[in-house]
Amino acid sequence: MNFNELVKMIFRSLKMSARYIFGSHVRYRVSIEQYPDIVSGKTDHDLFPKTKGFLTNDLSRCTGCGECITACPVSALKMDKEILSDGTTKVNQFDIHLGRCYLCSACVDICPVSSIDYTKAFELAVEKPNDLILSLTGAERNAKAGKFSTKDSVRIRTYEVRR
Amino acid sequence: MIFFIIAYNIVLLLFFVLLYSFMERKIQARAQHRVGVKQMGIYGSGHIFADNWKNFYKNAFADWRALGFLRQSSLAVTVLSPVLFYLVLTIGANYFPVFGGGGLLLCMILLTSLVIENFFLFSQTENNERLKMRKNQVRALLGFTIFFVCFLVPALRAGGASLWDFKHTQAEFPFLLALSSPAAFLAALVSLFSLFFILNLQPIVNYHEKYTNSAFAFLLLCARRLWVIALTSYWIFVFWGAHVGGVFDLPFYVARLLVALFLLSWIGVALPGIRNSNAMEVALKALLPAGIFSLILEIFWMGFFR
Repeated sequence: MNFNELVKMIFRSLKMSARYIFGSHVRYRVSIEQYPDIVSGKTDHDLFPKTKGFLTNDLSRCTGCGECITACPVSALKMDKEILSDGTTKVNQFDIHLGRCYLCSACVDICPVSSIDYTKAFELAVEKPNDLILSLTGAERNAKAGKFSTKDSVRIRTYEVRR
Repeated sequence: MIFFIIAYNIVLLLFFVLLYSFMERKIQARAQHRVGVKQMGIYGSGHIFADNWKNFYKNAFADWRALGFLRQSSLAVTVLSPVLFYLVLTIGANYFPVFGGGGLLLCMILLTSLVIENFFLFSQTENNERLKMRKNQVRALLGFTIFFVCFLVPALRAGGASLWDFKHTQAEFPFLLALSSPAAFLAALVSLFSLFFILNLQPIVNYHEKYTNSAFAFLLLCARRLWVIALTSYWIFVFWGAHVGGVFDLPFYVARLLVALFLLSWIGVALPGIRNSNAMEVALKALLPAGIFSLILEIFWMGFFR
């Protein structure tokens, strides 16, 4: 290394660390990362066919047999069901703990009506741990699932920006 | 009375060790874009106590009797010599006019501790690590040389190199001997940089950790901090006004020491990105010539203005 460069480097490092030490606190800038990506134009269909996103359950097809709950090795699934007067079973609420799920496919393989399946959405960053519990109810199923749905999966990231 | 003064200075020194440990960690954290210590106490102020308390229970102490005389004495010298240095610096200049306020004693303490420490470590280290250790020694020696050259500049102004002379020159230039001439200012800056070369004793602590015990290494880490404060106080004494010793001077002294320690921490944060050889190159090609230049400049300055 040239000597002049070295001296310059020392002053630069002093200046840089001074900016960090004396500078104001970290400023945050919020930027939105959207998927499908606006720039590249890629959508879910451009992903690999076997891409595993997180789990979801189509409650209109679910019979409430409970096979998946017994099959799950990490107890990520929870179901609240009631038996109606006509003998059929109605699933009131179906909770999927996406933080526990490690995509082993035990529930998907065992489901007799194939109501449980993987989506293509994979962005799971949330602020609170409880947001990772995807709770599907009969009435507001679409509204709840919309937070994680594949079509408008919008993830808000915060980047730390120095002035 | 003298015992009270000694106790006062030791308490002050230990307080500075705590303050400096906390300050250094916070500055490092801020420069590395971290929060730093924050768990214990207000703003992490209790962390240094918790950290040291943990250190005593982390590893069992080695038996002192099993260490041997050489190792015992070297450890004692390493820990006690900065305390002695600081005591001579603060008490000697004010109450001890013999031998010029103990300036000669300071040099003796410094040299003895360095020689014993290095002799001990050199006898303990393995062959493959001796080269690294020798590099550190050369680096420290270079730092001392630069500091000595810069030290001669205010010594010219004071008319002597002893603490007593310096103390009386401070009355002529209250607080700011460094601003009395451009040469003194340059010498102050250069010697502050050279302190970084002297005080970077962290590798030596690592050697101790390897060859003695981590609990002792903790003591030696304290010793390094003690050395930082003792030598920085010396720098302040020479270039920035002495600690007169009274309670009323204490806030000014603390403020000066804090500013100097902050500058040292800043240099310490900024410079580790530079390799050892590059740092040596800068010391040889820039700092040492700058020190000699300041010395010549001071001679001309005194010739024209006195």
